[in-house]
Amino acid sequence: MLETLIEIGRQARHSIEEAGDIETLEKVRVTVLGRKGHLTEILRGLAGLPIEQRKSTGEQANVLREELERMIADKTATLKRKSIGEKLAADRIDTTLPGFPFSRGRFHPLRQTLEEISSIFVSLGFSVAEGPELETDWYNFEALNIPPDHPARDNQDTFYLAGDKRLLRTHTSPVQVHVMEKQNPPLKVIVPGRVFRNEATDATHSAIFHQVEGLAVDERITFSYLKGILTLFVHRFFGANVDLRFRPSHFQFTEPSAEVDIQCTICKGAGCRICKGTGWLEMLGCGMVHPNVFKAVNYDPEKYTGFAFGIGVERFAMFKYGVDDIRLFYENNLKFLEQF
Amino acid sequence: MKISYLWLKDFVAFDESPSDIARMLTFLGIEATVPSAAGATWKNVITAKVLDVQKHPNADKLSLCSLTDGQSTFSVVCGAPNVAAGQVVPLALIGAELPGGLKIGKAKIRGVESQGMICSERELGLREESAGIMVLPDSIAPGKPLAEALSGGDTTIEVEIPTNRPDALSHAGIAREIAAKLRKPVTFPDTKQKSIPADVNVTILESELCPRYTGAIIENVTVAPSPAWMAQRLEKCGLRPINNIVDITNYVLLEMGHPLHAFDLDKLDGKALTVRRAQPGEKFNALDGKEYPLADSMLVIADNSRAQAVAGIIGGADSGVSQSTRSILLESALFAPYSVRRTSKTLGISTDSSYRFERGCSWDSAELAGWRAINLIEELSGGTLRARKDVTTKTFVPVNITLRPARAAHLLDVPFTSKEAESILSLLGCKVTPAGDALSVDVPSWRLDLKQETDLLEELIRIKGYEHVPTAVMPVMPDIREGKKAESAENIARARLASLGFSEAVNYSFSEKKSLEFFSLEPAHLIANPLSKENEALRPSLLPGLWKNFILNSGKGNERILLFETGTIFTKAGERKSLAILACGNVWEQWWAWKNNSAPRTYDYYFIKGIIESIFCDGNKFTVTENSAPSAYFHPGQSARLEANGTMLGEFGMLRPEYNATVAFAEFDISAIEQNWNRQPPLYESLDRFPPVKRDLSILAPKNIAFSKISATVSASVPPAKNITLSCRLDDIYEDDQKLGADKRSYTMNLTFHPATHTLTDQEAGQLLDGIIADLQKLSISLRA
Repeated sequence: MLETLIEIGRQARHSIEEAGDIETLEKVRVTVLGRKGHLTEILRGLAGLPIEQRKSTGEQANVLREELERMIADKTATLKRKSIGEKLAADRIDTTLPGFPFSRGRFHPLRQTLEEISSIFVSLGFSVAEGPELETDWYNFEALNIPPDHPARDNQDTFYLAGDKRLLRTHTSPVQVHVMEKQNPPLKVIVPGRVFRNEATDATHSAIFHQVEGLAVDERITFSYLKGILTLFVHRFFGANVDLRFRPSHFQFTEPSAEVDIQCTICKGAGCRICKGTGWLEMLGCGMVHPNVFKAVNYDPEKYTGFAFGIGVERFAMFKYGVDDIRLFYENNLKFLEQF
Repeated sequence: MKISYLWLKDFVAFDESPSDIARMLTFLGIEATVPSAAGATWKNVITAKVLDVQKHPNADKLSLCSLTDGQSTFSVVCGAPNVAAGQVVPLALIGAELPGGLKIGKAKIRGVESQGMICSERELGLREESAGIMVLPDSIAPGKPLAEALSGGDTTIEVEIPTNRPDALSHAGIAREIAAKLRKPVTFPDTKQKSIPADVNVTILESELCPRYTGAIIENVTVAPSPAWMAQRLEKCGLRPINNIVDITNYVLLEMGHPLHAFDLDKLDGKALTVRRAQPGEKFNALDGKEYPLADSMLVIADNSRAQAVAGIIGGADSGVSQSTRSILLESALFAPYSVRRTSKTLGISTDSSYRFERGCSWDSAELAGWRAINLIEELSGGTLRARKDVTTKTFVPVNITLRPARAAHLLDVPFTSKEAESILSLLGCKVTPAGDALSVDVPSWRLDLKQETDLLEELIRIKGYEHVPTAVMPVMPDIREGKKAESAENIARARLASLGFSEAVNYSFSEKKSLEFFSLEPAHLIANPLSKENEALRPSLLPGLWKNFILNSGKGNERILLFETGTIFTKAGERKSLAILACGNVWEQWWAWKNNSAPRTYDYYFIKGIIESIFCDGNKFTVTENSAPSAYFHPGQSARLEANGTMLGEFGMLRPEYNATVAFAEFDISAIEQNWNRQPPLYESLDRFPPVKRDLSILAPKNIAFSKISATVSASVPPAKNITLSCRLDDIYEDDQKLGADKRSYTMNLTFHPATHTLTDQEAGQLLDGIIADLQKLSISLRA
């Protein structure tokens, strides 16, 4: 009986070692340890043996069973590792082939600029208003202190509609009037929008461009607040180290009026072709709301003061991205759009 | 406007350089520049007199010139045909360097030595183009550095005067600004005013349009060239000297800003002038040699038979000053700005005179400028003032404004004492008298822009300098009356489109009529005054613009063009915001791993539909429905509309085959979308607590039944009371004329029942499926065998 056990053990160890895959190993296990396996049958036959023999054979058979079970478990783990390794090797791909070309759409650089400008003012507590592009003479000119036959109209060549009294707004300022007609002070509002000038298009002029208008009205709004808010804005947009200066200008709907220049972003103030050697770039117009504009919307000019400003989006975008021809913005060449 | 630096010094004493003055003016609100002098690079370029011109011995087209600088003689080869003995010309000597970088050295031209080069204006950098050499006025002496000879030691300053400051359209006006800034007195030319008979026949018939007209008769004038100092100043300011009389009117215009006109008295019928409206049909021969038709809205200065000047704009050819003129009638008048402006626009004539009158001239200057010109004419032409008449149709009342200096701190955050305010305003010509805490300010007649207190406050801070205004941080008080603004549907749609690979376009708001016709679109609005065809109509759709972009990009070799735009369109119903999408080409970029994929790879109807559903239908009760009347450019069988509760939000689909490109297009009404956009936060739906049950359903349906009808029937078949939601996914479509019949189509759908209250048994699921099949049978749809 012992010889038989030793022989089973020897053969089983050999077969386990030789097994090259999980299936063969499983066959070995069934042959030895399965329900009808050689070792299982010996263990089952123990009951029919004399007592001493039963004891010694039983011990040895159990030792062998534990040994073989451990060997099979170890071997199973080894074979599994081997099989996964083979699968991994077989599934290997060239990871340097191009990945799937998901495409990414772009927002138009003018819209990006417009939204950057708007978001700065929104963070400073301004709300956003919009108005119609087709306007009446009253909103575009008269309510803004530009009476009929006034030479200031020459600066704003206007598109008129055929067979209709309306015109295409020449600035976003008429929305100031709409807002003040609907709302009482205090108010702080910006107006992004499209404006129209009847002039020939070239690298720096466009018959259509975009503005962001700003307006703040309250009982104690001063010129110094206007300087403060525009200084914050310019620093947020162009960087905190960019110098700016205010100089007198003229707009019919503000008094006093100012033009804001910033240090040339190209030459940093040294003087170059872009700034025509001055070191400064004219960036935006602003001023304190003219009392006649307040009168046009029935605000008391003694009680309220306010400031207004107008930012040319194309101009800001041109300096931000270094675009030297305004027409590129309206051509919509994908090679251009995909750069932003 | 060009002004002369030296001329300014006639009125105010200062030491600042031309560029300092330009900077000062810029910070006073008058943008000024000193044009970069081309002369800076004219080293060794002198004036020289041509003594003799000979033919070059070896070249037909060259000549050999002999020139002098007054001391030495130079022999120079010249190729210009206009060179002639006696001329004073610019001569670049050996060692000179010209603006283009050209260096003049010793040279032999066709065997003859040339000791320099006679220059053209182009070579000197004075003009872009020039024909032949530059010939200088005879008055210029030879032997001077060219820069000095041309400038006369003076510098031109270019200024841009704001529309509200006609008073600054003159040297005196600019000098007044400088004086105020420097807090220095300003002195204007003395006018010698004589008391003389008012024996001038002047009548004003239109008192509204002409509040003041002074006419002066000066006899025995000798018309001759102006003296050099006057001619040079006019040239410095860009005016061509003509003769002493005309030059004096121009000189006074540039000096005092008031336009004058001199008539030849002997050419005036009846030696009389009437200020009247033009007669209908009246014609006018102007000084510019053209004939203009006049209208009765226009004001003219007429003699007894016809118009001799269009008031404030241009004089007549018949009564202009000529060599033979002996007596003149000098006009110094005031005309209503709006009338001059309208007439100038109607006739298309803009002159130095009309430019000033339409901005406004001053009551006082009308008189002073007249006297100044009379004095100069007497002095320079030998004439004698015989009569002068000043006709006024109203009384001038100076504007008086009450200024509260405390208001400066209120508006500007800059305190002004009464004393400082008075000092600044006085320098600008105002009469200031204290009135309690305030100041009573009489505005001089030339400051037409000063009408109310705020205008004076601007003057105070303008002269003091904007740099004195502090930079203060305004308290940030967010306006929360309207609550937090939800993100606009427009921006959500834009972001979703960009994430799907679409780039944003921005197009002009205009369309050519031709491009609208191409899409059978009607413009709702035409532009009355377009500059070109491109501007003739307002776009009624975003399609023509995007189509133009498509053509451009397709021409550049792009095989895949994905664009969208949001912008205002103009329809008969008014202007509104629109969103449009254009897609053409491969859905996915060409990729090495596409093998036998059977999915379509180019944008077709189902792709654009998928995009629209993913952008708009997610979270909104928007539905895609059949479009019974699509826009003309859509393929009628491959387009649909997007709706919300029966409201049309827009349409989309494939363009018609006639456009010869497989292009998907979509356009939506943004405001309708905003109105119907679901702003409610989504309400949480509990996750499946009971296992979902899946069943497949294969049916055979007549082709003329729309799939939406089938899926709606399936969905409606499960009664709501059962608390079971059904999702239905189309798995396969199969057609086979032989096996199924040409009019039938088979659909396979994966149905999933999600019970909310209990576990669904097989039997229940079977009953639900039977119910669906029964409902479908009512539509002649059968189970597929």
